[in-house]
Amino acid sequence: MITNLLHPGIILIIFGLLIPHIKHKQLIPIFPIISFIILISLDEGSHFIINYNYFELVIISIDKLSKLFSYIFLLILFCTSIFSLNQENRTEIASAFIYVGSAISVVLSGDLITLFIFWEIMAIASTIVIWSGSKDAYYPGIRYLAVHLLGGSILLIGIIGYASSTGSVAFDLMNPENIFSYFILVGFLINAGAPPFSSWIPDSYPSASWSGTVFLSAFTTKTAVYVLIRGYAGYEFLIYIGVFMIFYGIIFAILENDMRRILSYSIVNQVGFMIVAIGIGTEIAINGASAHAFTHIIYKALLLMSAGSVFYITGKTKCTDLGGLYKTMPLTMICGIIGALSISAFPLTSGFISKSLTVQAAVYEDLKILWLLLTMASAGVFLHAGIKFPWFVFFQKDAKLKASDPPNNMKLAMIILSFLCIFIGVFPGLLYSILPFEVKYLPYTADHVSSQLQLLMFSGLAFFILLKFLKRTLTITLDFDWFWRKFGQLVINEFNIQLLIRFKNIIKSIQGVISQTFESLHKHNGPSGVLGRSWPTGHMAFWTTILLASFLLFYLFA
Amino acid sequence: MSNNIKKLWLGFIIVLALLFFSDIIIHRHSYFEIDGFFAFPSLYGFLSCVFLVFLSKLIGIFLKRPEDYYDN
Repeated sequence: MITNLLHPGIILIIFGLLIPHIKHKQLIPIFPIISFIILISLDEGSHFIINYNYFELVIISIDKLSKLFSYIFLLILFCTSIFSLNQENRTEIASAFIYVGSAISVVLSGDLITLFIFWEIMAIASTIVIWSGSKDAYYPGIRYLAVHLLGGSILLIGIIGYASSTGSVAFDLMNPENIFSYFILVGFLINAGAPPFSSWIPDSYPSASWSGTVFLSAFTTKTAVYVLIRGYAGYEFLIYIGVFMIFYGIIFAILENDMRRILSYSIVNQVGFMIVAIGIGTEIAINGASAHAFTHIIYKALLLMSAGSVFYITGKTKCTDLGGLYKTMPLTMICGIIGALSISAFPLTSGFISKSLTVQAAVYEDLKILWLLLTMASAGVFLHAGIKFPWFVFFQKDAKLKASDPPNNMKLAMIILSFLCIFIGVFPGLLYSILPFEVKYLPYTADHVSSQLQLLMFSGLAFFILLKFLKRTLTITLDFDWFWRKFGQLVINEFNIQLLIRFKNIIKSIQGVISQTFESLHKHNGPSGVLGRSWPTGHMAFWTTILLASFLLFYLFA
Repeated sequence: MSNNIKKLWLGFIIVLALLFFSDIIIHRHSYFEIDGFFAFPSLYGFLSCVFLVFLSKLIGIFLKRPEDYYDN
C-alpha cells in the first residue's frame, strides 16, 4: 500500500527539517493537515513491519488508542503552529515539529526498539525547544536533558533485558514477572513526571518561550501516559504514584508565584489523575485516562496560550507583577477562563465528561478512600488552577500594565481551542465514540451535575475566604531537584575544598620539611655555617690523621 | 467594597445557597455511606480546600526559599 510508505510522524520530522528554509511561514500550519490526511488513510489494524536482524520492527501499528493520541497531537500541533506564527525563532518551530513528529512515531510504534529511537529524538528535540526560550533557559534545559537521558538509559536497560529474556521486542501489556519490565516502567514514569522526578516539568517548561511552553505541555507527559496505558494498565501501585502526583501538583501550585509554573505543576496534577486511572486498569478507567489525556491536552494548551499571550504582550509572568488585565486583554481573559473551567471539570466543559470517567471507575471498583481523595483533588484543581490562575493574572489589584489582546493569529488559536473545550463538553458522544472501549456512562445526570457544581462553587467560596492566605510572595518552593541542584553541589564543594585544603596542607608541610632540612643543612654546613668551618683541607688532613692514628691504636691493643 | 463587588458577592451567595439546598429536590445517588450526608459535596469541597490551603502553608514553612536561592 502506498500510504504505508508515508509515515505521519516521520513526515512531520522531515517538515521540521525543512521549516528553516521556508520563506512563507504562513504555510507552516498546513503540514499537520498533510500528516492528518495520511493518518486517516491508515486503517485500524494496519501494520508496517521491517525485519531487522532477529527482530520485527513494527514502525506503524494502528488501533483505536494510537489513533486517538495521534489525532490530538496533530490537532494541537496545528493550533499551536497558528499561535506561534509570530515567533521569530525558527529553530524553536522546527525542533517543535521534529518533537511532535517523534511523539507521534512513538505512539504509532508497535515495538520497543522503534519506540526507543523516537523516544530519544523526542528528548533531544524538546530540549532544543526549551533552549530556544532565552539565555536563562540553558541550565533548566541541561537539567531537563539530564533527567530524560537518565530515563532513556533506564528504559534502554529494560528494553535490552526484556528483549533478551523474552526474545521479542513487541510492545504490548508487559509481563509483571519479568524484572526488566520494571526498568521500562521507570523509564516511562520519569517522562510522565512521576516522583521523585516531577520537578523537571515546572523547572524546564516555564523557561521556554511564550510559544515553546505550549508545544512542550502537550507531548512528553502524554506520550508517557500512552505507553503506560499500553504496557502497564492495571498495575495497582500506579494508583499510589498517581495520587502522590495529584496532591504534589496542587500543593506546589498553591505556593507558586509564576503563572506558567503554576500551570506546569498542574500538568503533574492532571497526569496524576491519568496514572491513577491506568492503575485501576478497568475498561472505564482506561477510557477515562485516554479521554482525560485528550481533553487535558486541549485545555492545558489553551491555558498556556492565554498565559503565553500575557507574557508575549506584557513580558511578565509573575502573579505579583500581574493583575487587572481583564480590561485590556478581554479575549485572552475569556479564553483563559474557559480553559480554567475545563480543567476544573465544570459541567458543559470537556474536563467534566473526561475526568468523571476516572472518578466513576474508582466507584465501580469500590475504592472508597481513592474516591474521597479524587473528589478532594477535584476541589483542589479548581482552587490551584481554576481560580488562582485567572484571578491573579486578570483580576486582583490593577497592576496598571499597558496591554492589549495579542495578534489575530494568536486569538484565532485560542478561539479554536475554547470552542473545542465547550463543544466536547456539550457533545460528549463524539469523544466517547473514539475511545478505546465502548462507553456506557452518562455524565449528564441531575445528581452528578449538582454534586459537581456544589463541590466547585464551595471550593470557590473557600478560595475567596482564604484569599489572604493565598497572597503570592516572591519565593520558590524546594523540590526533589534540590538534591541534584544544591545538595549535590554542596557535597562536591565540601569534598573538593576540604580535600584540596588538606592536600595543599600536606604538600606544604612536606615542602616545609624538605626546605627546612635543606635550609638547616645550608645554614650549618654551608660556606658560612658553624660546621662548615671544618671544611678547609688542613683540618681535613688533621682529622684524617687522628682517625688513622686511632685505627692504629685499636689495631695494636685489640 | 464597591457596589459591583457587593452585587457579585450577593449573587455568588444566592447561587451557593441554591446549590446547598438542591439536595432537597435532587436525589443524589450515594455510592458510599459517607456521601449520603446532606449537601456532602458542598461541605466536602469547602473543607478540602481549607485543608489543602493550610497543608500547603505548612509545607511552605519548610520548603519556601527566596527566588534567587539557586542563583548563587
